[in-house]
Amino acid sequence: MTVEYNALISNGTWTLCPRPSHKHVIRNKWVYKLKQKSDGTIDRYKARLVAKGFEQQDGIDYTETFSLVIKPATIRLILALAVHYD
Amino acid sequence: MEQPQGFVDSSQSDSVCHLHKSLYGLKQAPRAWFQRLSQVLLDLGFMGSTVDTSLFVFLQEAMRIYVLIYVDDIIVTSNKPTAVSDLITKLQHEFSMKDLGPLSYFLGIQVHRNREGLHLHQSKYIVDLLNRANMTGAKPYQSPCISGKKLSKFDSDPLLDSSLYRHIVGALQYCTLTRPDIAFSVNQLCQFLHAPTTTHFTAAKRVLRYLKSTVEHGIYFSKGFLQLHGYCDSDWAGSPDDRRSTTNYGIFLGPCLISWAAKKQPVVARSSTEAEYRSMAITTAELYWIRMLFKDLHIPRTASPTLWVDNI
Repeated sequence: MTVEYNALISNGTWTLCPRPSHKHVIRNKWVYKLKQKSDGTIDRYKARLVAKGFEQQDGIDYTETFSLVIKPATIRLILALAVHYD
Repeated sequence: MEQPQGFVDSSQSDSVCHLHKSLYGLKQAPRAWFQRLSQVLLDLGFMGSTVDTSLFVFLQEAMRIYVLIYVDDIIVTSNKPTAVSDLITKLQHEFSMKDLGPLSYFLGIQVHRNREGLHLHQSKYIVDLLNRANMTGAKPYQSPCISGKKLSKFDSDPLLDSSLYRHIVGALQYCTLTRPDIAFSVNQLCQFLHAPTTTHFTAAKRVLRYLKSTVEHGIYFSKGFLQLHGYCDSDWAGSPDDRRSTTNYGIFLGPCLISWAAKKQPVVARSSTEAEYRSMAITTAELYWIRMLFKDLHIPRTASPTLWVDNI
């Protein structure tokens, strides 16, 4: 867990600042995952810090989101072209 | 953000974290990731496509590289093999990533390559689906639905537990990625997700039984002349409940089928001619979109697309 924490700090993910008085501060939690080797022995205890994004409100905490979707026709067109020019 | 549990700075315990970077779970997280990845590609000289955001194109003299992105899965293709490995090395400087070699598995689609072409199918996904639906022992069927028989809202008794029906139909929708043959049947099933009846459930199982006999089927791409052909058709007042018509189309690039759909028309057509014209309009829009994609890919212009239709 310290490893993950240090990675976040060395990436410069956040800096400490005084609590803003009129803003909602997003909470977070650690999510733990046990990684096992194929024989069932413990490989690693993983920890990941996640923000509780569901507490964010549109227009107040953020204004733009984006989610990437791919059109299946594009994949097929590219693959068909790849075959053609092969 | 609050300070993470277990790591609160004791000297400033009332302070909070001011985020400079995105974190898992934030609403903006997918957007931040896409911006990061696309910025790297743009810096390398790629151009983002205007008609499909997941596509990036690199052009230099005769060399072309196409990059397709789905979150963190990336397909790279180029007319110069060394360009692909060069790009992968460059990306590895920025991100820790793995090169999985020639395309074999992408978004649940299996890809088989032979000397003449490429075969795409989803047999792994279909076998999993049959297992989940407890249909592995079912008898195979030769067709996905009964021709001429229309499903209706008022067919029979409502299902007591509709969640399995929704589960199956949702999974079948994903199967249509490489299966144009079940597109129409799945489109029919999808119209009753809100209130499925026993008849609908039987029809869904019939599609699964058809899939069982055709697990390995998929689409095949082979070399040919780069000419676009669209075929479209529609029924007339096919839905017994609201009398709307259904459009079907398929678009070929040379010998390769690249786009297809089965879609119920949004308005009631008062004649079969009207229904046919509406289906032509939808197909033309799709053809036009593919033409724009061609322009983004810098493929030299070929002859105008042909649209085939009957009964006008």
